[in-house]
Amino acid sequence: MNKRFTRSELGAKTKLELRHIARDCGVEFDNGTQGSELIERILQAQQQQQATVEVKAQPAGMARQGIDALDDDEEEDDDDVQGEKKITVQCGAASLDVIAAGQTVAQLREQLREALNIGQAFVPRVNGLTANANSVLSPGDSLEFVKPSGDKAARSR
Amino acid sequence: MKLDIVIVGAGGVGSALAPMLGRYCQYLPPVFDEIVVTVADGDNYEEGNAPRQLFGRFGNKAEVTTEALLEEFPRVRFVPFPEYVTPDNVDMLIGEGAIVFSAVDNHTTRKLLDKHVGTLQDATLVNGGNDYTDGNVQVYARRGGRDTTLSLCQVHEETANPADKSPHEMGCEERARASAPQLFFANQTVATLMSWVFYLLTTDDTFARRPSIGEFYFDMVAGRVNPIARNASAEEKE
Repeated sequence: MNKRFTRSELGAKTKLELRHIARDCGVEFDNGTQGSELIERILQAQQQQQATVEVKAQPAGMARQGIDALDDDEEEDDDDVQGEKKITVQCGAASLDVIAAGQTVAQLREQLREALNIGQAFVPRVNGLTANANSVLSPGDSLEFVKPSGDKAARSR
Repeated sequence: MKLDIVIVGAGGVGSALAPMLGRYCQYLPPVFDEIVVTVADGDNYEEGNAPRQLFGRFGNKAEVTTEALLEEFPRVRFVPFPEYVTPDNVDMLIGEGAIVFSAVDNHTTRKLLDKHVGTLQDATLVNGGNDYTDGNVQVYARRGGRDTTLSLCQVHEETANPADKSPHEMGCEERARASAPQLFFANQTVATLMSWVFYLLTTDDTFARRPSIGEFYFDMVAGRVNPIARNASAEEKE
């Protein structure tokens, strides 16, 4: 994606133009997708691309922290250099690999807040240990924002 | 070899889990010569439970659940414990070697179970919970008097410092107010993930000694299940 659009710029586009932009961003849509929904999806895609040089969604059940996650084929497919720089970020059932070494926990929390639905009270853990907001991440680290347990109640978190 | 299983809570999750464990245990190899499943719950089945729970009659959930399963799976000794779990009775319910499934809907009881298991030499606590379409299952294992995975309270603030009450501390009206709409399928998913843990505990010696999965998260809408390790380490000891 070469150009980043603001919400107002997108709001001035026709639906056809929005679809072209969405396609360029890799946003999925169908004939029934409303313009307002296209705008939200485009903004979200732009935000994710800004947050990480590379953000690669992991398949379900491929978490890190001691669990042997990637199979051999996928490891071979990864770019060697970028693979070494990746940090796995998890929140609940969601998991992302990001290139973010040198950033702090607080920075990643803010950048991935919407993409991973990270709540304010979610406690960070790095490589399985409690971390604070100023902890600096290194290549290969695993960062988790611990999502509270399900409690069968519709309490706000 | 004895299998001592305790299911705390026979609501949407516990009542789904009990028959799964019953069927599986009924056909376990003969090496398990005594299989006891205790079901604890002080609540009663009533009409409002029908959308998510299968029961043959109204009455205490622990009693109704165990009497039905006793007939269906005679090799397994199902024992009712028709009370809420409290600090006064938790040690009667959960002893050394137990595999405890916590299927309750409040953090106060989870904390009680977590702390009690933490006093035992060998025991496993498998806690499950869900919101409407997502949830999680946690595994806390004690082996030889040491934690091999992190306790619930070490990882989850909301359990370590519960803002809710145990049902034995609430009146009927308060209990009714505390309940929230739930999805049958979410309950079933929690029960299924708990059964995965049970399968690994009874078939994989390495997992049984030190569970490699400390928590599962699932999200039905995203179509994901995410396993996370929770290895106990020196830095986490209290």
